[in-house]
Amino acid sequence: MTLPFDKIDKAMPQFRLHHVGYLVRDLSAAQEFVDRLGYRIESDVIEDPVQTAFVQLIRQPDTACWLELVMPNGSESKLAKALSKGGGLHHLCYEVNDIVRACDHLRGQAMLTLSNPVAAAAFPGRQIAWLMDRGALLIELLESGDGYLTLASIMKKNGVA
Amino acid sequence: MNSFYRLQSIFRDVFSNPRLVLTEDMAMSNFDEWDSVAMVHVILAAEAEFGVRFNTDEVATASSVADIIKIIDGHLNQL
Repeated sequence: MTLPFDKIDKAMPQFRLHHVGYLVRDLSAAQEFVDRLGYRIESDVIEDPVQTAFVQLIRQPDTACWLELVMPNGSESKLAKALSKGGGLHHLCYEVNDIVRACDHLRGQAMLTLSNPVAAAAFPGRQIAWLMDRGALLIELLESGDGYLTLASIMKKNGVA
Repeated sequence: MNSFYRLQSIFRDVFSNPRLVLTEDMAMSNFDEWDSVAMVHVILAAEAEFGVRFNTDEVATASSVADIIKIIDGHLNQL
């Protein structure tokens, strides 16, 4: 059963898909996404100490979210085990206005907080947090903003108010 | 049933092994099947079983059966 939009709980935090994390052995995979699927590289390679990884954001023109390629930053990376199992789709990241409230909401929805909000290496001036559920769904929360690599910046480019 | 045996029941369920015998020195480092996803299962099941809530620091630092029992008992003693 679907719920009409006007019946959705307005007190619930809004979660807007910002990027999908995709675990790769090598960030040169970015070029494959460019050549095969028309993505454009939209960030430098950034080292993220929270994920113990190097990441790079790519996006297809006129789409409203990014693909984040994630590569372990060494053999001791927290992601090395996941990569040894094959890598691929890794996490979903949602932009939220109030990251503490969003964490509290998901914590009450049978998700475990793996990391409280901390400064985001890949998204300067914003915070991220990590949660996981029993089905191994890994969710990253990212504070919303209006500058580089924000959903608001895409909306502006696409002419959406 | 004390915390240890209740936790053993959780581990048997999470790892689908009804004969699993829990020991306090069992840890993520010496039990291959115990990865971060299994840990999420264990902690969420322990929260439901014991009526406690792990804080994020506890989630981040717990890596053995002894750690989990210590955290659970710490919360139960505060009730």
